[in-house]
Formats: sequence, C-alpha cells, structure tokens
Amino acid sequence: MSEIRLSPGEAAILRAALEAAVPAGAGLPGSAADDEVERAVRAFCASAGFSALGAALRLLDVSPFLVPPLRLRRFSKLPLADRVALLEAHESSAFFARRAAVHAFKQVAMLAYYARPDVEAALGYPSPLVRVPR
Amino acid sequence: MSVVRGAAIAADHELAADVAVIGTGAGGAVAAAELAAAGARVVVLEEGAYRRGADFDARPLAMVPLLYRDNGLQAAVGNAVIPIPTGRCVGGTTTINSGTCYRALDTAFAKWEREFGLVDLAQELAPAYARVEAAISVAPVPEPLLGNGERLAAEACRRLGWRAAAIPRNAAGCRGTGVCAFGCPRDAKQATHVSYVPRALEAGATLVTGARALRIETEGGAATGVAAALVDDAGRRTGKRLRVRAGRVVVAAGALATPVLLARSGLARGGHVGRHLHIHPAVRVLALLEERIAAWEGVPQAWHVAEFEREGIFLQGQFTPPTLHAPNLPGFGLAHKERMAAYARMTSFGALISDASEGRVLANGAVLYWMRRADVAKLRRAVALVARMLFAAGALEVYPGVRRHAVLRGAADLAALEAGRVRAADFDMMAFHPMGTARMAADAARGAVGRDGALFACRGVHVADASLLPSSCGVNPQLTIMALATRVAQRIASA
Repeated sequence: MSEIRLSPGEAAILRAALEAAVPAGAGLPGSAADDEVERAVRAFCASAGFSALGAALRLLDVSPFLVPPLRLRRFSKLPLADRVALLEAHESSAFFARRAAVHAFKQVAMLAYYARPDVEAALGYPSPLVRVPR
Repeated sequence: MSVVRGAAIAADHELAADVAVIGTGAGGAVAAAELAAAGARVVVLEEGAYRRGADFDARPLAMVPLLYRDNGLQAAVGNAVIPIPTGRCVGGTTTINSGTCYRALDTAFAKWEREFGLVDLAQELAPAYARVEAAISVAPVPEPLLGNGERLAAEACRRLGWRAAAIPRNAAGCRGTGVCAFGCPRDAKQATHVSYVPRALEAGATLVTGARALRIETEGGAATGVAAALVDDAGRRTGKRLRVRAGRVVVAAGALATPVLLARSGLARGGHVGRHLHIHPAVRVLALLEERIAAWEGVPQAWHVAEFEREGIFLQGQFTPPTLHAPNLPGFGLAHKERMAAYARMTSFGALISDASEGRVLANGAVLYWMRRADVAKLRRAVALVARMLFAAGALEVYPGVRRHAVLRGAADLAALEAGRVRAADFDMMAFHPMGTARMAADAARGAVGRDGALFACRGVHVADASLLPSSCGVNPQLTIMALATRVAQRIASA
C-alpha cells in the first residue's frame, strides 16, 4: 500500500500528534507514535485520497498560537501534556469544523493503533477468526 | 454466468442488453436477479470489486479501504459534519451492514400515501417483502447469539417496561463472529454478493466489476444505454471505457450516487433529483460496567428498542472492535488510553432517529445537510434514552458522544444532558441509510419517479434503490429497498 509523502517537518508533527493521541503507558504496548502505526496512518490517508495531510499537520502545528489554550511554541515542540490538552481543546471546540478535523484524525490514529494484534491481546480482545473460525 | 473484471478489459468495449443495471447493492442486485430470472438479457455494472467471505479478514484497518466508499469518510456538511458510510464493492452497503431486516413502519406508509399519493403501497409491497424475506432467510437473532451487552440491554428494557425484541436479520448461518460491518468472513449474512448477485449470474446476467457509470445515454427522450469508465480495485481509472446498449436502464447506485448520475446525464429535470435527502442521524453511546462482559461475543446488532418508534426514535444494539470503539471515548492521551484499557468491561448501544430535515446531493457529489432544531432535540432525547437504559443495565459511566457532556456518572449528569442546550455540531454523530434523492410519488409535481420506479423525465430509466423512499421508513431500510426493487423489476419484466 502506498503512503502519503510528508516532509521531515510534517512527519515530526504527525509523530507528535500520534504520541499525544495514544502515548506509551496504561498497560498497553507501545504508542501511536511507533513506526508501524505511523506507516498505517499514512497508508490509510493515501488510500482515502487525503493528499492534504501535510497542510493539515502544518495548521495543527501553528494552532497553539491561534486558539486556546494559547502557547508560544509550535504543537510539535510542546511537552506531551500540553499537546494532549490542545487536542482535547480542539475536540471540545464549539467551532465544528475544528472539532470535525481533530475527530477525523482521532479516528485514523486509533484505527491504526488499536488494530495492532499485541494491543488487541492486551485488551483481552480475541481475534474474531480465532474465536469463531470460518 | 459471467463475471468480467473491468480492469482486465484491454480496450474500449461495448455490450448489448435488454436491461443495464447500475449497482449491486440492495436495489441493483435484486432488480438484476428478478429481471434475469424473467428472461431479460441483463448487464450489471458495479464500480467496486467482487470479494467474498474468504477475502474478509475481520480487521477493520484492512477492510475499510477495501469495502467502503472513500474509506468510510464520505460526509454530509452543513451545521455539522456527518459521516455517512456506504459500501463500494459487489453487494454495496449490504456487504458492510449488520443485516437488520425490518419492513417500513405503518406510519411511513401512511405518510407516503397522504403526502405523495402512494395509495395502498403497503399492501402492494407485501408480496415483495415476503419474497425477499424468504430469499435471504430473515429471522430474529436466536437467543444464544445475543451478545452479553445485548442481554444487559434486554434486561434493562424489561426493568424499564420498554417494548423491545431481538432484531430480524438475514444471517441464518451466523455464529456471532461480530464483524458484520467489515464483511462477513463466513458468508453467513445474506448480503446481495452471496444471495441475489449469484442468482442473477445463474439466471444468465453478466456482471462487470470495476465499471463506474458516467452517464445514462438517451435519444429522443428514451434511454439507449450506459457509458462507464473502467477502474481498478483501488478505483483508479484504467483509461478504457465500456458502453452498454440497452433500452432499459435501472439506476441503483445508492441515494448519494444515483442523483449525481441522473444529473450528469441531464435527467434531473423536475426539481426533485438530488433534493429531499433523508438520513438516520445516529450516535453510538458507550458505557463502562462494573465487571468484564466481553461485549464482542455474539451479534453486535441484535436488540432493538421499539418503544419510541412513534416519536421517530429507534435504539439498536451496536458494538465495535477496539479500533472503532476507541475514537468514541472522550479525550486523548494517557487518560483516554487508561479508559480504553477497560474495553472488556464496556458495552455500547446506538441511538438513531428518523429525520424531518432534508439535505441535498449536488451534481458534483457534495452532500449538504442542515439538521433542524426538532431533529437535534429528538437526537438528544434518543441519546438520553440510551443513557438511561445503560444506567438501568448497571453502567458506572456513560459516554454519550455529546460535547460538554463527555462523561455521565448518574442521574444528575443525565438530567443536565436532557436540559442543556445542544446543537447539531455537538454530537459525535454519524448517519446511516441515505434515502429520498429521487423520491417516488404519484406525479411529477411531488417526486422524480412514479410508484413503479420509472423516471418521469425519461422513458426507459428506472430507479431501484433507497433514492425512491419519499422519507424515512422509520427503521433500517434494506428490506424495503429490496422489496421496492423486486416490484420495479416485475413491472419492467411485465411491460
């Protein structure tokens, strides 16, 4: 499956956003910033024809300067807790386009992370085809 | 019996038929099978690929790009962004739905008679309903296949005194794999790719997959065929064209694509094509329980609360794999992940409404939808009802998918949700079952097609999908689409 091409800067923003979406911890393996998750996100965006991913990431990166909670650093340079707070602020925004954009990101990020077999196993979720063979 | 893969056609190609059918979902496949069985030469065009149970690995990340149009991201835009997932494969949305099979509510037929002149349609459709129900083995979900979450919901409904029952489905051989929305790996669900499409092929129809209909060709006010672009499995054009010469064209591309095709073909005259879009706005409500229930076991959509149908509210069981469950939990970061780690203690249930709002599908495919206040209030009530049911089922926390009400922990939070101001954009909303974009009516003043599915604007063009439904049918429309398509095909065959 092909992937969306991103500049090194855009790739760093994506990784920072993925880590904020699903960081390491909570007894589940890895994080959404792991290579395989990032690759899956890029591949999913490519198959959806979402060529504007790079532009959307650049917008996210400058969003701390533009919307509360205001910060004087780019998103990708913020500590994890601030990145999480910013994503949550977008998610609960009254401006629905902002909310819809971050929700779309959340869907793709979680789709990619929680598809990992080791994560499913840690959740106690058995593969459907193991639980009920064809 | 012939299946041709469009991407394998090396040069521009032409076929001749009595009837060209566009689409293989609930409408197209049924129309094709009925027409082929009646002796017509039928060519069926399908944009997606032909996949079966062996191709379905139950993994959403792989299956969504394979089976969903635009990776499931197609959305209506207006005072909210509302994803409307539909299928792009042989079988259409029947391949990725939950197999729920209800007849339209009496109240819907009464409205259609009153407002659109469709007198006695319920009686006329009854034999077609019965024929389809027999063909796809419709029966209520057997008790052993109810998931644990559904059992809790059933018990809560009994406690609350709500009318509710197991859902009738088209999945006689189901063993509860629980991934209906990603293609049934056992082909137990009688989606059209395993039921009506094989029947159409056995009766002599030709199916061309990877064929994207571009326009309906007409001459002197009558249909002469269909022009299509050939595409590969990923939907990329191969540069080759297919033309089907046919005096009859049945359009069944779904309520979001059929009006686009009609408009591109210059057949949107009359002011109804592309307008009157109805959907079933829906919110998935999640809940955390005290103990592990493993809600993934059994049929994910098996229990239906009919108590509020008269209000246009229907509540249905709904549980998804972790990949699709996680985005519906509030927040991000470690707190979200910790909540998700309790997945085995969670359940969910769907709140759906019949809308009064009307959207529009533009000729370029854009979908506009402005949700009226009455529908917003109705959806809020539907969400609150589900929350009440989940608390009655023992939920510790409920996640209603409503902004400013991310977590409900009891009656006070529920009361705040019921009393607070909510806008359309505040819901984590999806919508299912797009309908009405080429609605049927007794005359051209009120609809785009007659009660036999024939387009008023052009002889020989018939519509046989959810576009026909003049308004919400009050429940999942699959069975009604199939019954209508049966009737449309029978009318064409007898003409």
